[in-house]
Amino acid sequence: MTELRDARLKEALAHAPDAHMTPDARTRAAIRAMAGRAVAPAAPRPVRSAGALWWQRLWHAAGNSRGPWGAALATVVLATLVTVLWRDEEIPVARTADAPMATVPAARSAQPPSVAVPSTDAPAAVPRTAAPAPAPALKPAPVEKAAQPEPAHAPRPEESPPQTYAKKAESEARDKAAPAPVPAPVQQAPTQEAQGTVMADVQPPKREDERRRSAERSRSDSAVASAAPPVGSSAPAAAAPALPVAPVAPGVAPPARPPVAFAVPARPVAPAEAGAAAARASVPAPDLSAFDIWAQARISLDGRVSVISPGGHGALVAQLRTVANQARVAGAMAGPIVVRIELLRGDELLGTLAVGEASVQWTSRRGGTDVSFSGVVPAQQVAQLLEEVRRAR
Amino acid sequence: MPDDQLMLAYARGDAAAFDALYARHEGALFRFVRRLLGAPMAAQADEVFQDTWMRIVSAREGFAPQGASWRTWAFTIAHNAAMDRLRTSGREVSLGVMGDESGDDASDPMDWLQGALDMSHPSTEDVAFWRAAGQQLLQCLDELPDTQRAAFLLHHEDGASVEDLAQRLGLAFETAKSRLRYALQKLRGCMRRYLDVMEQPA
Repeated sequence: MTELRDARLKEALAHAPDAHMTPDARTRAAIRAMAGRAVAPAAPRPVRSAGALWWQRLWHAAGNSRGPWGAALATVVLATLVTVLWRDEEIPVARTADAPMATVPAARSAQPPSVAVPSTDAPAAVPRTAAPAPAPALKPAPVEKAAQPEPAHAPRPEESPPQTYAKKAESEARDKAAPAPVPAPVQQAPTQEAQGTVMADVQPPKREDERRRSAERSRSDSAVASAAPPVGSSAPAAAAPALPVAPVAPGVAPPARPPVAFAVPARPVAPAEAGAAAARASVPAPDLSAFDIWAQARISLDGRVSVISPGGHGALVAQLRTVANQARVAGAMAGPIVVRIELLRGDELLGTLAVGEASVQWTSRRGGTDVSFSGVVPAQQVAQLLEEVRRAR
Repeated sequence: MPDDQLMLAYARGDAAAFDALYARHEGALFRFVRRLLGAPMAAQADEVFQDTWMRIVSAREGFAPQGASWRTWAFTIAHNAAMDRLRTSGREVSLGVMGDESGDDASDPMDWLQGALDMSHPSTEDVAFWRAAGQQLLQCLDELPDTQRAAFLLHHEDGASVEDLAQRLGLAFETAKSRLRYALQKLRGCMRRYLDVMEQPA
């Protein structure tokens, strides 16, 4: 016993009225039941009982509330929301590099389809392979041409649907060597008169077949060609079956091209644009990037070969580019080469620019293959180029 | 089986061990809880008592008979449960009027009761007296502050030493001692009438 412990008080507590008090019976039962449940083993749920439904068994098998049901529900809700939001949205489709080409050529109003003669197999292979593509555009082309009011493109009696090309080809075969078609294109396309006329005048008859073949391959606007004088088209038409172009357009005879294929440039702008657009849609564009990276230019003129660098020859460089821009039609050019300019970077040949008296051919290497594009160049530009070249050498 | 072993057996899953443990300490624990809550909150004694056992069951895994006995451990849990209820109930600590006396006999241990009274064969009058004294003591306890009341009950009912009391209540030794002293002071003052009777020679 200490001062802090009083026996009297303890005795009094022992005799207090609540000395024998016990909790309520229900409290006792609740406590004992709770204690029993706490240590009772977890009884397996009767998931396989006869009365349990399949979803109940699945629920229990999945672990009831222990599973990430909240996360699963949130995922489903989110997926539904995204689906609803994107329901009316267009799926973004990647556009190929050729897609805009279908419209760009239409803007090239002054791009006469070239009648490049396939002087080499490689360049010729390009237009041949591209020929099938333009064919499908042959049919809609006539419709487009009819919708485009061009004063120069006055509907001619010869402007017939593609179905009549075969007939026209026969009549044109009789005049394949005649230069008569020349004036007609001039009337139709005054804007390209200079190019077309000049080109038409200089074409020797003996190369008409070659020119027609190349013209057919490069032009998809055969309906427009119907406006051209039906001269010399019989030969191409006859030769069409032998060309890759023919099979592509069985129902459409090769466009009636005059032997002087350079008359084609004299065609109306609108038809040429539409046809060229279809043609170009399947033909890769000329690659003029070499003009930005060349370090040396080897010029062959008048039997002499000289090498120059871009520095100090800004006028010549600009003139070269201007002339090269005229090469828009796949294929080799016709006519003799007056000057040849090879663009080099070190030992790598980037491209070759061959300029004739009124034509140009740009050959670049693409994918290990030389790709040539040709076009018509005004004689004045050729003269200016030659002057710059002679000045630079 | 000792209380500690019963508790360990229950922790291992022996429900019967718990029943035995419960039966052994039901009364004492319930009285402790009821007296600690005091008369104003006697109605909540069952609830707090049940809460106490729930806490004991929940802590069965962590029970380790190290030093303190199971009874001490259980009484501590009961104390905490009751004090929590007292705090949440907002019951004001009743300083109480334990009489005008200041309890000057704190330093006068009155342990003659064991020798003066023949407790082995108490007479009817003795029993009645003590019952009355007990009743008065309960009322005096109600008037004590909760912390002093808890200290007195743990010390007298559970037999906890001052050191043990301090440890269980998380108090410094001197603080626990002071609480107990003040509690005795007030109770003795409140029980003066009865204590005076005890001092009178028969």
